[in-house]
Amino acid sequence: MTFPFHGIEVSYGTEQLWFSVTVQRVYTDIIADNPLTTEVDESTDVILRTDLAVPQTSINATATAAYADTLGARNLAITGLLLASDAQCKNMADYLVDRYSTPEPVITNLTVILNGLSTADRAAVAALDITDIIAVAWTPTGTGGAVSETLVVEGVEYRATAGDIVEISFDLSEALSDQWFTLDDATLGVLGGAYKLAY
Amino acid sequence: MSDPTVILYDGATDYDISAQVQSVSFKRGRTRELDTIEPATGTINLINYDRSFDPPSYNGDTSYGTIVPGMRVEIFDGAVQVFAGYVLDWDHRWRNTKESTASIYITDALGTLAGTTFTEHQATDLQDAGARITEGLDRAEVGFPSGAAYRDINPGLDPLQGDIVPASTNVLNRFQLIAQSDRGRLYVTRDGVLTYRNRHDTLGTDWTTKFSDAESPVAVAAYASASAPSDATVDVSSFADGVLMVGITSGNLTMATPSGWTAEGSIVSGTVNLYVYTKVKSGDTSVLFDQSGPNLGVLALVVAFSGSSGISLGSFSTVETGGITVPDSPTGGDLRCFVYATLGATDAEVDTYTGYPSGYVTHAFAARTGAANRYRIEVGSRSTNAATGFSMTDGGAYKSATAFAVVAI
Repeated sequence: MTFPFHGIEVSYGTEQLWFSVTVQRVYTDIIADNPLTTEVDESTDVILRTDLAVPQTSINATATAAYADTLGARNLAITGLLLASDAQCKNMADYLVDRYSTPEPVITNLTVILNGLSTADRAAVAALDITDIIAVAWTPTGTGGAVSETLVVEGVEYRATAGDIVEISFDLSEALSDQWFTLDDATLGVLGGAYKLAY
Repeated sequence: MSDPTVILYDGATDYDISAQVQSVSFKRGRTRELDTIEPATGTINLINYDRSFDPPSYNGDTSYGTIVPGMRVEIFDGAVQVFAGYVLDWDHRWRNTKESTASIYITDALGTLAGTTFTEHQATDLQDAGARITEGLDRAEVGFPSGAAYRDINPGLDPLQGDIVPASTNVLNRFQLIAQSDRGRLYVTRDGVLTYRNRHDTLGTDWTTKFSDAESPVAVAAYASASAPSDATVDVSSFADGVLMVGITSGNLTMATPSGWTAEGSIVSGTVNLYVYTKVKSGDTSVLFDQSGPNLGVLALVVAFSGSSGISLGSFSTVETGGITVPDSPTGGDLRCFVYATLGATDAEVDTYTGYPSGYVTHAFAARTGAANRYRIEVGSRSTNAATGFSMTDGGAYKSATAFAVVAI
């Protein structure tokens, strides 16, 4: 189903731009009874650290060379995660750098005024929820080439004001459309194919 | 279709408060993918002339108010539920003109979790995010209800370490960290289900909903008083103290004050709800429609004056009839409502309601047909019914008036 919209916001800049990403998990701790006290006395329990969590960093060297002189290093640090291994942290850092290290215009918000839609169309738009995937296609100002994006609904804002105007806005992020390596797939399971390892 | 339906539930009774709603807004989810999903926030503004939404036992007076914080709130847009959550706070405002409004601040189940803490425990090692969240929801100190109506937790992707959860750890903050570690989304659906989706659950390019500029924009001419697009004119220059808001779904509309036939408009089709919310000291609050079609539509007017005991929106479904409902006795003079017909350049009053009502009254206007009917609704008490020369008769004291005019053609 295709619906009209009333407004679109596009982000293109540093709002979500990171040339390097560092991800670190928390240290793995366990609670142990203090052997010098009775086992039932929890107040004397000791916390044992069983391993060290090493920060994992991924860098887009090309983007850094192109933009860092004017925009800075722009490192995103995510710490304190509950991941079980440093390898998982590295995977996340690689994924985030791949996704956010190059400036790209992305539709971040779309507004629809529900009044005036048919009952069925209004119901379909009002029923959109977080994690739903939508497509948007338009030609800015009616000139130039058409733009289309596939997006995930991240947030929903609903406003019904005096005057019987009901607006709904969707906060959006770009949907993942990567082609990932898939075992036994005729296209995505071929060595050297145009795919990425899944994250 | 008009305003959303708002239902409050106290565990035993549903309260449909839609007729008292002035405005509804809420926001769920997050702005960007790297943000944390926080509890929903929202506000419902209510007209409270009859004190239905007063605090119970306020100052020892138990006559009013059965509404308390913590009630479940559900909001529907037509048949579609768009919000399910809880009342966090009630705020009340009274003016010395006897106006009263109430505001409900709402949140969703994430807000409930934000008010809960864990006792100390150690998580299960190598558990995925979905299992970790479920384990947390099931803990005694959390006690989150089970069942598909309350939760829908998908498995996570990455194994998580069995970390120690210190005493007094906030449950929502803990769940947000679990979701962040898995790069998943923990949120509450529009019908109130706590939901976890891992990052692969939103993978792909399949979609069934598309928005495109190839579709004609919805014909909304104006939805804010001062920023009305060119095909609507809103003149609020005479409002020294008040707010005027106008909405129109299609066609053109001009609304104007003060007195006199100073503005005209054309409503081509559809249903228009027009709200005037103002205070009048001297002069009137009037709404003037010029209909371009041959038939007079429905006129309904609900007025609340200072000290009134409440208002309700009139219900009119038959074309070519109309009416006026006055909830309570206005002070300072008569309430009048006029229907004019335009014959050439002359406006002739063809139907009038004038009264000094006590309690609820309803007046049905005679059906009208004609090429150029003109509707004029004047809210206020006045000494004459001339098209101009309107004046209050109470010596200039402020009178509060809230008028809702509904025109369906």
